[in-house]
Amino acid sequence: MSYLVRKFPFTVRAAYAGLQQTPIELEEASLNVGATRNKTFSSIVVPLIGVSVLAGALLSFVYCVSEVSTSLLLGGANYNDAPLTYWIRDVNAGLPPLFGAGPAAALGVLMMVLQMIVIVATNAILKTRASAMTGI
Amino acid sequence: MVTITLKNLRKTFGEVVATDDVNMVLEDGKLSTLLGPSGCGKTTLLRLIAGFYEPDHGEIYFDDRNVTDIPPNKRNTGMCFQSYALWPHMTVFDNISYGLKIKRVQGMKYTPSAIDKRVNNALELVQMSGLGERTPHQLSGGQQQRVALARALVIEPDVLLLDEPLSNLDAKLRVEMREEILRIQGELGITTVYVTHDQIEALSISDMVAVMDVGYIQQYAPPREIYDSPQTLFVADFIGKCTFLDGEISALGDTLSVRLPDGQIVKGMTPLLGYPFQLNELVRCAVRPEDLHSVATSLEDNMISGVVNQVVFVGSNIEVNFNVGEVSATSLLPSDAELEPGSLIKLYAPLSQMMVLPIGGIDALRKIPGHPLYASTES
Ligand SMILES: Nc1ncnc2c1ncn2[C@@H]1O[C@H](COP(=O)(O)OP(=O)(O)OP(=O)(O)O)[C@@H](O)[C@H]1O
Ligand SMILES: [Mg+2]
Repeated sequence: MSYLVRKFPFTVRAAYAGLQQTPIELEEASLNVGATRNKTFSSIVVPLIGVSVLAGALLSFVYCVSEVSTSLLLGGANYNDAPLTYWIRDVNAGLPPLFGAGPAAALGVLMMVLQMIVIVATNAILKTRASAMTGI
Repeated sequence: MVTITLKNLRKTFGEVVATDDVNMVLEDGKLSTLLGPSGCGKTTLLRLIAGFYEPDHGEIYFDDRNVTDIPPNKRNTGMCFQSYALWPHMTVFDNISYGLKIKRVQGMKYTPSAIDKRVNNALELVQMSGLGERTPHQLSGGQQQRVALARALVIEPDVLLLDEPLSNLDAKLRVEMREEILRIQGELGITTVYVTHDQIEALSISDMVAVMDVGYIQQYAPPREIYDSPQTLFVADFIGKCTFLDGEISALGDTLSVRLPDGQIVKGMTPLLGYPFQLNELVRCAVRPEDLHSVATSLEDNMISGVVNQVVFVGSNIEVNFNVGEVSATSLLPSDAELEPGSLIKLYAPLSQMMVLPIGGIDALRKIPGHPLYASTES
């Protein structure tokens, strides 16, 4: 919940930017040939802004995973829901299930790898969209 | 098919009056153009008809049906946008078939093969066969424009709304597509509203032309009438070339006498029937270059004398720029006329071709009983 609240704006911003980039004529052209508002939304608006929303959501995910401050605050209360950072601290401090600096570092690397994958994926998606719109 | 009736339409954007006092009947199966300079409200009027804007006041009828409050997707108009508005995430084929997939004929869907056939026909019509699998960004501007046209036509709309549909084509293709639009429009008998700022295009393809300026319809008439009897100075100036001579009315009657600042008197007629001219009213005489002759055709002809300023050879004719007092005027003469800059010139204009018009423009039209603008004085 807390992640949602803190990172939701990223997703909204992305969707909003997508909407602003989409000329109103594209929707009007759809209405003009007889499509209802709902049909226009699902066939024109969503495909055109959907990609930006997805990208925004992925980015939010990256931020959530590495979120330290919220994790430390809430992690103690609900161990199972805690994200990686909380684990890393735990592991480092020598609590079960694993302990010692080695596994903690491994988890840190895992986190970095995960973030990189997501960021690369996001960029790839954004690029295809950009090239679909501009032809570059 | 439908007759479109616009009653007392007005649309503003905040302070900007985009279009106002629009009263016109666009007849069933006819091609009417909205002609005017950039920003005069052509697109706004078209979008009102399509239903994308709600008018501040006034009504729009398709036949007897008041469609003012009907949403755009229920109006069955086919619009070709000035910006094309093709969907970038769909292929050309999908762009065109989109409307057909939605369309129901007596509650029935088109079958996939029927859709295929119609889309391919539409592509052929706009000379784009074989390009169906491309996406819009893989097309040139002119090709995109033609896809937009095909997309509007394929749904067989009651009303075809074209916003400068040929602006991006080269001269040859433009003439071809113009013929094509005329042919399709004539064959299907679709009531068509065609927006352009190209006067030649407007005069050559239209049944009716509405000349617009700063949001107002200046004149709505067949092309010939627009050219022969312009109702306002704006129309006279915008359509074809005109030489303007300012003066005061010195005698009233069927023929009006106008005293020019240098004392010459010219006689002319007004194309604006019913306008209450007054003695000493400031007016402007408009005459087309081809109506200023080097020899008189009748004793009644006006004689205008001036000083030659410049002689330009334009092929079949010569264009003579000369000064009448302070005013510069233009005449088109046979190319065998021999004239030198600085020499005196005498030209003759038939009475009937000397058009006397009031200065007021739209405000002058409001003074004419029976004119669409007469009753609707600014509220
Ligand atoms: N959405 C809008 N918001 C505010 N003003 C607008 C809007 N649309 C048009 N206008 C204004 O209304 C007037 C008429 O615009 P319109 O687009 O109808 O002109 P046009 O005749 O189609 O011009 P062009 O030939 O350049 O396309 C212009 O002064 C324009 O700035
Ligand atoms: Mg326009």
